[in-house]
Amino acid sequence: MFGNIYCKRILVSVRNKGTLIWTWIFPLMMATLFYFAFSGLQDAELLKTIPAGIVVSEEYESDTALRTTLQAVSDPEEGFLELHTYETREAAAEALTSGEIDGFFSLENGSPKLSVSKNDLNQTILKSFLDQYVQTRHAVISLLEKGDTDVSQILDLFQTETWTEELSLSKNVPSETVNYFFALLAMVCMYGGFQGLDSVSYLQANLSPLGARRTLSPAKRFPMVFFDLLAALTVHMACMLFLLAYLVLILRVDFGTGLVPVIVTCLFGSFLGMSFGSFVTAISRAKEGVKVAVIISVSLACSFGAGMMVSGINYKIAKTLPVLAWLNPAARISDALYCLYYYDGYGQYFLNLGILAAMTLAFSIVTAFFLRRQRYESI
Amino acid sequence: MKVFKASLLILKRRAVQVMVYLVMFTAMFVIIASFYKEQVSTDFSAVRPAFTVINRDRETPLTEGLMEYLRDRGTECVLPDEQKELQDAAFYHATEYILIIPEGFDESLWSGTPLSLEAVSIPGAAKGYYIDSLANQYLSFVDAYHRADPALTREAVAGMVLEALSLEASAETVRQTSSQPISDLYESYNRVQSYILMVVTLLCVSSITMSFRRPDLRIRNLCAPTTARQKNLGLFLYCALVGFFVWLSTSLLGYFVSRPSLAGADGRLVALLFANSLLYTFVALAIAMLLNYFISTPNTQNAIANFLSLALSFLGGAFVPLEFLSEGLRTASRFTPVYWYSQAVSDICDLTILNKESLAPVWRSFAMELFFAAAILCLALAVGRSKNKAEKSFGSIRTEIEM
Repeated sequence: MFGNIYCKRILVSVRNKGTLIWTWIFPLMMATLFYFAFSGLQDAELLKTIPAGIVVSEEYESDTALRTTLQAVSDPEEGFLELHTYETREAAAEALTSGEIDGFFSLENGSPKLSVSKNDLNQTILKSFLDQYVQTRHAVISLLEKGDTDVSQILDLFQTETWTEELSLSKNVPSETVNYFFALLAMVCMYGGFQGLDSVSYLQANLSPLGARRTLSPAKRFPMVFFDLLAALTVHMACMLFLLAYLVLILRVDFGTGLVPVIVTCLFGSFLGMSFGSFVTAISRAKEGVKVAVIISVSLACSFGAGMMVSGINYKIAKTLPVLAWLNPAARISDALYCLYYYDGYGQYFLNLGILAAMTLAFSIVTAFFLRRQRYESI
Repeated sequence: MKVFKASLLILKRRAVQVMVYLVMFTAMFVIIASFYKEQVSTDFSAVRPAFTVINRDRETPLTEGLMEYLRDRGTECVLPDEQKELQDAAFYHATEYILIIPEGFDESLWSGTPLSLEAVSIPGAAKGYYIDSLANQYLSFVDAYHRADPALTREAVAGMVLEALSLEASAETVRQTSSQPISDLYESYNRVQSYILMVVTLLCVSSITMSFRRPDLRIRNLCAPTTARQKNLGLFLYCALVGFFVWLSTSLLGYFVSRPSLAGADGRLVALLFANSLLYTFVALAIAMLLNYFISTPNTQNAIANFLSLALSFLGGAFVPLEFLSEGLRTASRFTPVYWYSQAVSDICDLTILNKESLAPVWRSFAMELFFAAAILCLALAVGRSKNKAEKSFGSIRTEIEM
């Protein structure tokens, strides 16, 4: 009986075009799109050379301090500015409007001034640079006016010095990109609900003709359910492993740890997805289309909460609505993968797996309650 | 009008599917908008990156001065001194820079042998660099003032440093309109709107054509005393109505949810954004008309609607700005209508003056969208003509008299 049910259930799953599209092809497409779209995300945060302009007026030519400072910070090797020179303010303003530069400096009555067209980070850094120049110049002049110290001593006092040293909190560098892949895996785990839906539909006499026939068969109920679910799990885990192989081998996504704990997480997630699908199918006699819509909607909503559409939303939800975050199965799966990637210990990882197991058990108990000892007056 | 009424009836029966997309999209946008806090201003206002200071030393005038200085220029994110909390906040960008003041720092600074402060940020990140430069500026000034006059007390040095660092260079924002710029929230919404416009339009149009292209129904309709012109007019009216409803509902949703952040924004820019999404609706309708010849089951309908909308949106810069894509992908994306839609959104939001020169790129993007709509529509008509002539469009139904 095992071979018969197990093999045929696998065959049915593989022939189901809807499941094939949503659990095999759709995640592959999403992973590929994530890879191409988010690969530049990390670089976007890095400090790059800022294009800036200076209006070369007579005042500027005579201001040696500003000229020297600007030359120093626009050094091709160590500086952070790419300095363009303009004869007039109008020419600089035109370059600013066209987006050629992020801002330009000019001198007005001896005071440096910054002109920008946006309020982004590059403009803030330009402003901060100019503030620091003005502050240092003012401090040097005021100390000179006191007359206690000579020029060389004062300039020595304001030599740029680094007071901080970089510290890393984890074995892996924080990455915004990797979280999208965690949430994607969580979504596919939740899509295990389709397998749960099929299993319960094929077992319940009031949900499908096949279920009615199987209910009448002389086979024992428990082994039939067990073998069916085992085959469904086999198909879903094959799908998960296929996706995982694509992520690791083709897209080179770094999970920060060995693959075994990642696969264990996928297994727990798949159990949960299947039990969720079984639960949705067993508790109602609604049309299959409605149940599919519920599984897709809940899976997508949970994946949104796990950060699949907006990176970091899972953290914000965890901080503002912690109960919702703990009850979101996709967030738990994603968080378990995050723990493997980022934490040194396994405490929270096992806590996440425990919560997933508890949710699976809860869904399974309710499903079993609806499936056991059913008698039909009419189907 | 029979065809038009029948189309509306079919849509009514399949409304749940469409409403699921619209409701989920609305819910996500409302949640995202609730987290949005940015203040838009016409004057120069610096970006205020989030930072955290963990003080493991005692509170002294110097460390308090540092906190005060950073608070003036950044947004403080208060976190407990726990490894996990700091790790999570750094990973999810709740804080861009964590400064850890070690025990005994104040004494070491005062004695002239300062301990190094520990700084946690993404290596090479611009926001981390900015806050780090502020911290270094403060500490350099403290050291300089203390060395210049060792007799000064900590309170006096901190006070003098904060006074010196309160000096700011003047900055101006060169904008030739007095209105506020379009907020990031509304700009992002407009980019993502292309996805929901495409997916919902595809579903609405293909639901009808899928039914009307059923071979048995088609054969019956061909015998009906209704001219092809009347049938096409009915379908055209339906497409126009659906397109208009989807465009209006999604555009008004974005506008009303983003309204608090749009106070003071130029209404003409908002009108241009509305026009841009309307033009993209034409493109979506044209694509839907082309694809309906390849959609025959609900499975392929959902798959094509989602796959195509997501692929186009990612490729065209709807979800992630184009500058993050590789050079090759960016070149490829120019051959998609979403690229021109996203480009128009960027150009409109960047407008600081409305004149012939500044609006030229916007008109060019609009023209490209219209061109795509016209080209795809022509292709759809050609494909339709070829498919309708083919015998296989009648499926397995045999029309000949069997002998």
